[in-house]
Amino acid sequence: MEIILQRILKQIEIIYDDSMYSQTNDLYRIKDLIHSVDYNQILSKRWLITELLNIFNPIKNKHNLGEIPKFIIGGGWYGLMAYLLREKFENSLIINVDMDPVCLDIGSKIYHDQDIGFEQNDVVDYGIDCDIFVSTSVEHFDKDDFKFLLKSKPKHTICALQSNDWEKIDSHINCHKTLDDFIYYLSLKEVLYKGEIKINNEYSRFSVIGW
Amino acid sequence: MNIIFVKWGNKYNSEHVNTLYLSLLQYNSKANYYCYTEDPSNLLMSTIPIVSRPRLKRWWNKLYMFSHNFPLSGECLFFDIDTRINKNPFPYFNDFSGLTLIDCHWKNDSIFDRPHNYDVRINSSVITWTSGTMNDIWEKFYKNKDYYLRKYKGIDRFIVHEGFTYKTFPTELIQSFKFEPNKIAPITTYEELDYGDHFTKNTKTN
Repeated sequence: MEIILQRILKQIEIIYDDSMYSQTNDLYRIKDLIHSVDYNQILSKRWLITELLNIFNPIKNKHNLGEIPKFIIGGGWYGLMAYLLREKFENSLIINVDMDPVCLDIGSKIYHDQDIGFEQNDVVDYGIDCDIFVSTSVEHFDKDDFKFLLKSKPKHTICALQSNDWEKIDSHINCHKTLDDFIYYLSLKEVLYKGEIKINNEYSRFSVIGW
Repeated sequence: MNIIFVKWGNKYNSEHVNTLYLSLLQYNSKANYYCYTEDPSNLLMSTIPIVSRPRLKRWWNKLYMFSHNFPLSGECLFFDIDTRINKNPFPYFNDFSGLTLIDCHWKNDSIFDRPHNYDVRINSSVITWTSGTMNDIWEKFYKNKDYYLRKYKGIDRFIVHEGFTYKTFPTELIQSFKFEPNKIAPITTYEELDYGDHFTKNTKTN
């Protein structure tokens, strides 16, 4: 992780230099980039990966996941989740999808040697033709769009998803009051894992893995 | 001319909107009045339902007025619900080309110039434009809305710092309730400042 944080510092320097010498002046990117790898981001994502690993081997054959499972990460931001997945799933195809073009640009520089595919797209349009669909930002997706996306998934695709109850944030448009509400909303055929953690005594983050 | 209000959520109620509507109606009965809202109950003017996709919160819904799908054409004049009409403002509304906003001339401290705070010296409590001519505002926002929702505290900052050009109304049109308590102007802007309390106190005593 240290090398990744060093690369992020380098990107921050580039953003700052751009603000000094070019027409590009987006200093908020610095804050956004820092937020994307803060303690809670890493904690939440590692939690989901740990639970995914716990159930991965038992379900691997049942879902015909093969030797090189394909992951699609929806709303993957700058690629932290993709990187943390790569740590644990060495032999896999990992694609980070985010509609923000700058995420692709910065993410592909930070994680350039991690064999991660970066796609600039709305994952609702991109689709989730994969073995494992991951999104730790369900709260940012339109409720109906995300539901439509899950309905369109291949039958065997495992979903590892997180949302929260942090309604007061302007960009959070798909929050859920409880873990059970989130599970009900997802309407998965089978829930293989569900869990909840309290973050900073401010909000709850929910994790659900199923298919 | 279309006169538009935007009401989302329950911070303001239908009475707030109706009061503003009636105070404008006495000076302009020929305009078409609309409220863009998810709750049309008890409103005295025509309503336009807030779109369900993309779902936006609070003042961000104002940006949809610049979408090419917004169902109005011609000259548009928008008022925030927390504005008060003191006397006839319509003589000031004769330029509907481009985008015209309020000049916050009371924000004269250099603290507002800190580039990384994305502060602004305008506000969008009152806006004029012609429908269909400012669609690039909505289109830019919609393409990367999640980022802009994180970056900016409101649409004023988005408009200014994403480089859209605008004009401002003459300063004598607007009084800031907070910063210019003794000024007399056709419109008072409360900028969310305890407007609910002020409104309730005024309606009870009048």
